[in-house]
Amino acid sequence: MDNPVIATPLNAAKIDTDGLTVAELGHTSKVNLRGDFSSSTVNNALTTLLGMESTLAPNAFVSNGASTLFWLGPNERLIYTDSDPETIASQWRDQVGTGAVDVSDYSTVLRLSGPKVRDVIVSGAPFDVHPDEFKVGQCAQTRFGNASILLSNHAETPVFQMQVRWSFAEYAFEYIKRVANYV
Amino acid sequence: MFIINCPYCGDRDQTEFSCHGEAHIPRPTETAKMTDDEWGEYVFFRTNPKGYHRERWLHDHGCRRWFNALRHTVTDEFVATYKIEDPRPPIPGEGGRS
Ligand SMILES: [Zn+2]
Repeated sequence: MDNPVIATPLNAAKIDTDGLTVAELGHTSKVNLRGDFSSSTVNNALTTLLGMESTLAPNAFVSNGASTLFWLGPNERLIYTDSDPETIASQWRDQVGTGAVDVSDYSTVLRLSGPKVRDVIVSGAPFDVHPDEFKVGQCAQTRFGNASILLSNHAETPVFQMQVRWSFAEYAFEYIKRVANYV
Repeated sequence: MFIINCPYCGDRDQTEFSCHGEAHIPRPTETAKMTDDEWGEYVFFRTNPKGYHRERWLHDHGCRRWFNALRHTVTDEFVATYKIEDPRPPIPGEGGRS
């Protein structure tokens, strides 16, 4: 069965200017997981449900292709997954006994690439994205203008992803578009 | 503009945080027996020192965790930040008084 196309707040909007390419990713399934990530229960659940391990440094993420696991806090992780988010959430609650919530429609994800990416980010974020400080595989929850974001570094070229709340998506996108004209 | 060390995320810009007043004020246990004066004391009265102050901070735009900070209210110096469950770091120059 083909999946229906699910709406995203920016309708897959794009920016393509000199040195910067921005595109909203298609609808991405996301699950917020709570638990004691040092416990074997959690580790077993991550292995059976997602084929992943629970060892993850603060402000880092890891991907195995089908799923990506982000550190959000000492007892909190976020996953992007190709699997059904409701199933993962309910199985997590059964197996681990702590919270798991399908947050797929809580936010959207922008993919930013090109040599101007870092300049665009620092125009709105009080966070150091210098390649020595913010490496591939690292993520950070920070601020872009007035929007809370989850920023992650996916490639040296560079490729960043910015997860932003649904209701702030237009704001962040417009911010990037205007800034792109003068960085 | 200054940098605050979140015990979970590390050094971050102050604009990611918010301050929520004096720390280490336990909620009363026998609330049914308290007088209005005692409630007033608990809800409204704070030490408001000119000097070192222990306060509650929230990393709003970051990990969204609460933690405590020991800060000087005149110089804005952050002596230490510490997790809720951590022992209180000593106040400088007071022989380890906490
Ligand atoms: Zn933090």
